[in-house]
Amino acid sequence: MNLSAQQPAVWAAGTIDQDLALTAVFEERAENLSQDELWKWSAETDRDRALLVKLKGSGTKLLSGPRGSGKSTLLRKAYFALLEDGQALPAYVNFSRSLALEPLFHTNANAPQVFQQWLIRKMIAGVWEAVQLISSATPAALNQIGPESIDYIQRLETGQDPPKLPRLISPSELLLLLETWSKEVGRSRCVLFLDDAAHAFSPEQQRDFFEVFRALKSRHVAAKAAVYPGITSYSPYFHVGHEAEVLEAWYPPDDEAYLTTMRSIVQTRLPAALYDRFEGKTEIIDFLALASFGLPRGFLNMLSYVLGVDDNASVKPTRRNAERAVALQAESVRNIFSALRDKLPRLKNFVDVGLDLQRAVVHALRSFNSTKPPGREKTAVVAIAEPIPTEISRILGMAEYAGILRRGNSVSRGVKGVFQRYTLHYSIVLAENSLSLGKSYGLDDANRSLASTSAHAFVRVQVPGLLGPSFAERCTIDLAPCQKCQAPRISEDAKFCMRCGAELKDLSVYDELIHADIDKLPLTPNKIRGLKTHTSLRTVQDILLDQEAIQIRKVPYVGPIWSSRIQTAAQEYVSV
Amino acid sequence: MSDPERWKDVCESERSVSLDAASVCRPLRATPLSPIDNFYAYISTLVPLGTEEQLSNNDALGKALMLGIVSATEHYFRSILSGLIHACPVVRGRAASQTIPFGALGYYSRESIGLAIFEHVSLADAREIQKLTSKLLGFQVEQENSAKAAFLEFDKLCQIRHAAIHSRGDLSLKNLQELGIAANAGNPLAIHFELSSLHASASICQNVVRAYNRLAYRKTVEGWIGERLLTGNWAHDKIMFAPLFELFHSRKDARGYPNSYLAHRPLSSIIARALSGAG
Repeated sequence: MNLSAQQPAVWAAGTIDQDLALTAVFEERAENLSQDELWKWSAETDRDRALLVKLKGSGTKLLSGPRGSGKSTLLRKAYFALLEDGQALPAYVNFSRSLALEPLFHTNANAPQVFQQWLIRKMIAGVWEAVQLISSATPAALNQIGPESIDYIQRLETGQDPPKLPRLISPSELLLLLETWSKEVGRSRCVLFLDDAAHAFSPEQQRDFFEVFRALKSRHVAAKAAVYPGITSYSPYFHVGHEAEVLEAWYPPDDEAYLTTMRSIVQTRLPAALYDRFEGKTEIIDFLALASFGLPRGFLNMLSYVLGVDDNASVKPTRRNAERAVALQAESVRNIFSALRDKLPRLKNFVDVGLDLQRAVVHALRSFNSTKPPGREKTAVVAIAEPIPTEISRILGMAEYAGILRRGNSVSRGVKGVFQRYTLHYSIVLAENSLSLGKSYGLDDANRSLASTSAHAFVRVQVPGLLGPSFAERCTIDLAPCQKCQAPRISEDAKFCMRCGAELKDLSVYDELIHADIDKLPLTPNKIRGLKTHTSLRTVQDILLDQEAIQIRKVPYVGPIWSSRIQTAAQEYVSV
Repeated sequence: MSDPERWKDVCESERSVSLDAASVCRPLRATPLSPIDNFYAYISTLVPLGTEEQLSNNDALGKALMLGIVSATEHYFRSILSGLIHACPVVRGRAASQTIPFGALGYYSRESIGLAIFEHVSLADAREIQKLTSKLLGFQVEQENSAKAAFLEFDKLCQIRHAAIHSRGDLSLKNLQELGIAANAGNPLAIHFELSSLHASASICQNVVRAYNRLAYRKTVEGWIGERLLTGNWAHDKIMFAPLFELFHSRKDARGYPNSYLAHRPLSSIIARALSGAG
């Protein structure tokens, strides 16, 4: 049977310029896709439809999910839907560049004020852009403030000194402006879609954001923000649940319709020439879908790897390729976690303990599953005995952010206590053979084991059992010593050395990230080697400055898809 | 039998005691440091005196150290303003109408005579500094967003200092209102400094000093360019520019140019543009 015969007409000749479109097919970030591409290439489940109803409706919502879980896709879809329905005025705003403003906190006394204006001006710019799409008559005040805001944002995000604004706009004034502008363009309400809103790496920014966010609530205005699980801390006055409902963007891989949905992504997204290469090998699609653990971005990455897109266009999907893709995906997930060392330098030791925790979970699962004969229920879930020590909770939160672990419900086992369930990312489960499937298992065996895992089967563990009794001693905040006399810093609060009195300087995280070596990026060793051998690109900043990918494209086997992926990796490395 | 006079003895009686004021005075040692580096040096000797444990156990220590830190800040402002009166003809012109005690002419040196203007003024007061800046330097701190934010924080500390000096740290209702702290009936508050708040206070003072130092230098140089006091020619400008640069430059921070000659070089083109009327 010809697989492409089942495909929708998206890829029919003449519908899309196939050369250009292939880059978009494997585009990892929804905000880079057009409205058409977004509708055509993202499958929609009942669950997605229910989420979209809530996102388009009234009420403040937090859309939670790790990187690549489809938050932006959902927000963008809701935005485009509202643009067309004529009832509400939507605005899509992406705050991923917020780290670029972090150096301001080291050079300007009024940085919180500048940051708040940046947040507010970003929202105004988003409204202005939406109004240009839906109305021929832009409200006069918006027509003045909109372009002025775009200029302000552009200057701040490119590291220029904060320009002077004719006037500051407060969150409550913004609320009134949004209500007025909605009315003036003939829409009854305004909905703000705030993407990459958890400024998880700067506590000051995070607090300031949620103070603005909680003010944007009225009968005619609703704000929806995409946040990360585990790592987002809200301001003291913002109460999750009370102030906002949390929606889960992360698609659970144990959902009944999971594999069907993921197969339909492949069907709708891939051109026939690529899709047909899976003929007779659909178990590879399922294998990769499960390994992606409900994170569509990871799925696309693995698909492009097994199809040899950019590297070798004639590559056919094989089991070996698929296993390699899964191993690379597992590495990439771990890299997101490891990158927290750079983004949260004070928590370096926590990251190291977190990597040990992940290894211990792999080991615990493997031991448990090795006792289950073939056909018996295997598991990828560990249940950690409560109460979980504070420092380990923090590490588990960081692992949730990276997608290494997914938090489930807690479960009571009577006198044995209460346990908190966590599922290990399936790519790590597969790459580390945590299912104990033996040396020569078939992909179908792996697919069956993962697809049939039950929430009722789990490995009960205690933190000391996983990490040893002295784990707490290793979970210490890593504080840089005095730059002048090298005396240790006595606490996070100390701003002066207690030995020599010199000021203890906190380096800008953003400056450190942007000047980091390209080795730090979650790319394959081959690609890093290629970049170093064939280009003069050495730092993350070099890649960001190579906007047209002129240098990046000099690397053999790097075409439009890989160059876009390399640039995305650099952008994400310096983003929230 | 009870002593009929004993009812007066509610406490120990006073006795003869005196202090020779001169004994607590010593010659002021001239410092080669700029006002800002002098401030840094003082702060770095003061802050380590309050260890975490000592500050927790000794309520008076934190307040005493905080007073010292604010006093160092006040000293910076006196030094920089009097230094500017000496170094800048424009500021000197504005200061010409100020009254100073006649005896000050004999007590202060020519370089530091400006200090006489501030003899009866407290510069541990953010608003007073802003007022003097406007009067003598001719610019408004409030119009500079970053400096304004630094001064707002410093103003808070000045309020706290006020309470610490005048009522041993007990906070009056007025203090609370100025600080924006809600007053709870029957629960009066007092000041207490832990290590984190003491270090934060030192950072706030350091911040206001840095903000002012950068702003006053920039405004003075821009003012000189506007008044055509600089020509862009080092041989001509150095007599005015070098002392001004030394007044503001921090060797400790080691930012920007290390000496006045190099700092003057990029100004040449700006001055040329201004002189030609293009700037």
